[in-house]
Amino acid sequence: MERKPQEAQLTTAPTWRRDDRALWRRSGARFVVLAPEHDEALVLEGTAALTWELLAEPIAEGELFALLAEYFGVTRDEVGEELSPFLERLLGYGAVYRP
Amino acid sequence: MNSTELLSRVASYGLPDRVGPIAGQPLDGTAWAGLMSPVRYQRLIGHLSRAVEAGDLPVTDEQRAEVAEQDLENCVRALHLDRRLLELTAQLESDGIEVVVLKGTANAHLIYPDPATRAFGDNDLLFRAAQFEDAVQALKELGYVRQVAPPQREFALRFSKGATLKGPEGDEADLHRNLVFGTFGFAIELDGLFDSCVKFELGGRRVRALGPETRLLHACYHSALGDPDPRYSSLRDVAQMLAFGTHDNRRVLELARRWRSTAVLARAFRLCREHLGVELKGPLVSAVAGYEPTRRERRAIASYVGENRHYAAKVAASLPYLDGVGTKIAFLRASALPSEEFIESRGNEPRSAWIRRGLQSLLQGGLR
Repeated sequence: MERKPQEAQLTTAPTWRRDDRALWRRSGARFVVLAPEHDEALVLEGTAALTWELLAEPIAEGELFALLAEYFGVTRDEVGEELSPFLERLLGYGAVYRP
Repeated sequence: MNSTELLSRVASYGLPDRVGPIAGQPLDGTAWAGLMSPVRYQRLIGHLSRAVEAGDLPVTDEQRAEVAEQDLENCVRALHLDRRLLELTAQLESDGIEVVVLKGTANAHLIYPDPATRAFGDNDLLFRAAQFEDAVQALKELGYVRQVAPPQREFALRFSKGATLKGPEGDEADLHRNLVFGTFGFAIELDGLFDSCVKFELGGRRVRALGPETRLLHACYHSALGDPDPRYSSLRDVAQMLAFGTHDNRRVLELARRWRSTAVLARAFRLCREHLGVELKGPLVSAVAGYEPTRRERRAIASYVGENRHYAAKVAASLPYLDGVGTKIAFLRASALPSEEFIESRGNEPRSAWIRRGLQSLLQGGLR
């Protein structure tokens, strides 16, 4: 059976996962992350904390956006608009990577 | 509920029979301040935070914010210590030095469901006796400074417990060649500690820690002999392992027999009951219940936590634990009349006063 275009898009979208070298702790509803080569820890709250939880296993970007869209009752595009810069920031910080 | 009872409820929160509300309503300002100060010292902020989070300790908004802030600070401190641990172990292992992580860090990752629960303030590392001085040297090359000089060189090589070093960024590393100084320490099969190690994952690396049985025994040594008033977090480690640990009870008892430390276990369990207010259960607890320490064991324990504890008292109490006349003589020679540098590094007491106090401690007893 042929895949629908949207499913094909999901499988080719980038996958995100935590960098194993990043140290982290949970503090209440927040996460504190210390990435390699950084002296300043990152405190993640709200959607950022939820995203960190979802990144416990490698996850396709589309799936991540879809899960959060469903959770917050918004569209995937809206989630992507908010989340993409955050993921890029985590990537730059060294807490996550795209395998 | 007075402040001591409240503290023990926080320290024991989550243990069997200690699930559920600690208090019915938020504490007033005085009671809250009376709780938070010892919580910090006793390294219980993680336990307190979990009780607040679960709603088992009702708090005001201000109190909630204070707990959240301190828990966060504790997490940040722990992450920096974890980072330093990874750097140290990587360097030591690349130098061919075997290293095993002890106490707070290992316990946080291995015995609690969430490592943030267990606060700790330094890194404790165990080395094979033959590699201990190499490990000290390796840390010195990384900028660490030894805090207390050994009494004599032979003492450091053959009989010491270890050394504390302070890092360039103010962090502390306790380097161990034994789990405890003197007496009971001499009966520990040190090389055997490395045979039963387990590993835990930290920052993408596998780090070595003591096995479940030796880890429990070490927690008992630390609780029973480390300080006359042991930290509640250390006692909680013992209670946590007894309740949820994966140790083999028969093996723990067998090791305790061989290490001549049943009295240490009995004291650690008693302190847990008294300070945490919990009823410990299980075959291990039953096996040492009612154990009466011998005169030699009482003297040994008093040399650590008695009113007249002193280096000289530990030296004297250690002699029965050493095998062979030659070893006893070597120990006395290495321990006697420690260097000026050693005495100075332990405080501002003049050498003559320090020696006089040591002699007095030998003539007096007393166990708190």
